[in-house]
Amino acid sequence: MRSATVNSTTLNSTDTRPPRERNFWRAYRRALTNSTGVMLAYRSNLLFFFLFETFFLISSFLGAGLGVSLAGGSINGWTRDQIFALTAINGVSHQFFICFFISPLFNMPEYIWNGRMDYVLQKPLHPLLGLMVTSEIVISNLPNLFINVGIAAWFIAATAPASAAHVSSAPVWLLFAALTVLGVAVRYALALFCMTPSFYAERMIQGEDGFWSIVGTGRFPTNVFPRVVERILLYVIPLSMMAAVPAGYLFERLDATQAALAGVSSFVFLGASLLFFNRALKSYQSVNSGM
Amino acid sequence: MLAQQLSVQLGYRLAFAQVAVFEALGLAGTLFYWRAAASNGNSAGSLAGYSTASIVVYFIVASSHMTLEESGLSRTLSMDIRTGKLAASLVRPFPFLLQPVAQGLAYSLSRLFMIGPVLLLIFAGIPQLRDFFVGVAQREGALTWIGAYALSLLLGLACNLVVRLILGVLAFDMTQTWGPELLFMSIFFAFSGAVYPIDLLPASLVEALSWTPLFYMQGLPNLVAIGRITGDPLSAYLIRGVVVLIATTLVLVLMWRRGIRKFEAIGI
Repeated sequence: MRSATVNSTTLNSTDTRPPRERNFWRAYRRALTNSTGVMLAYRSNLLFFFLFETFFLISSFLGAGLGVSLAGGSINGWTRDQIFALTAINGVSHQFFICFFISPLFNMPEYIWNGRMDYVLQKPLHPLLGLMVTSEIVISNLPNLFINVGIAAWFIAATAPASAAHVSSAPVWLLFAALTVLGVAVRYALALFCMTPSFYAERMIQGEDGFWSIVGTGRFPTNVFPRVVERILLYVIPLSMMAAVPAGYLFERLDATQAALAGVSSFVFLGASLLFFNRALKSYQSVNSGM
Repeated sequence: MLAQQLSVQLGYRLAFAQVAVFEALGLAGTLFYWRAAASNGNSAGSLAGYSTASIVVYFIVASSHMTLEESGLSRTLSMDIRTGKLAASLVRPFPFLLQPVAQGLAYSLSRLFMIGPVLLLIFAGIPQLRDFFVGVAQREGALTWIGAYALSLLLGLACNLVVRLILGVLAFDMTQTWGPELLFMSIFFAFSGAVYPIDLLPASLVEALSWTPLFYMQGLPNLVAIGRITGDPLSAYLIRGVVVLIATTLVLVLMWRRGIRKFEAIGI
């Protein structure tokens, strides 16, 4: 069966991509098909996921709105519409992460604990890619991803007249898009940093709790933090890249240099997380210590 | 059993340290946001009766209460029922439901050890927050206020435990309990007071919610902590909360007895 030949060397000869890359995309397409099938089989779960994320979205906006109302319409220069746009941009990044990356990363500690990681390592792919093709793609969150995109667009449009020249510039939008993508990469790197210690200590499954505790930091405007903390969140551990930097750049709360420096810092953060994973992987003993 | 559960929670020191640091950072983010909101406050300085200090404290307390609540019990119980592993727990010479109770209690205590010192530092170190608490303690009487808060927090943790177990016990009748869990979480976020002060909702809705465990899991302890509910209304809510807890526990026991009768310990 063609779908089962991801290890095969008899691939289409016109495909010039390296074998690993070809393997990944073929397997990932299959994983996507399988995940869709499973999700559609459990249709009630699909509905419940949607309801959960929708209620959570409403709660996030109520919380953010309450803060702005209390502050009299703006917080440290961020208007109500800008805060709502920031909340929605964070929602886009969050939903994208949930859809495509949460299962591979959050399943990893259990795979290490029960020895199932062996199965991932046998695939002709980097283990992180192997995890992606052996885990679920959470398509149930796609509707909320698009809802957040719509809300972000609505509030960005609502706030645009205040900075029309800036927002109408194509390079600004390009950099904004690049920063948003980097925000997802930082989210991924943070999750990797939280989950990878599982290689060193038995059952470090609480990394998930740690991730959820800290990930919300990126949804706050950078200038609500004391200067030192703000700089750490921008340039050292760039959690603000997850939402506050793209939104801050779009709304001129950060200039291009600050955004670019935060971008460089994000690449370093992502690289460090991958190095950490690769190093930790060498500690894997293929021992089933659990379940 | 409690000692064993505590040692499990505290034994993984690396995980403990990681979560403690991250939760402190997460709390700090919330704190800075609401501090900024407070310092930008309008001339009236209040929203629906909330002072800037009280709203900051509300959100810190709410996120702390979320940290204390064991949310994994339902998943564990559901999985044990589904896989048949529950059978191993049933041979122990005491009622099964005591085990998750011990687990939940140990979880809350270990989390209290983690975030308690951080909270004390925050509340004692920031003058506005310290003054706020001193004001509430002077107005209500320190012992009365602390006692009422402790009672409401215990009630909330107990309600959380029972509700989570009810969700887990659904696995006797369902292959997957994700759906009901997620539905519950969505309702919890929207109507418990975890994400915004529950008394900002219409009074009739708050009254209706006070007949559900949701109100006691977050709303009541949060409101008592900031001195928004005191005196006779507080006593009435505490009595009603105990009634709700007993009723919810009865539902759990009935569901458990019904489920355990048809449990076949085979698993899937």
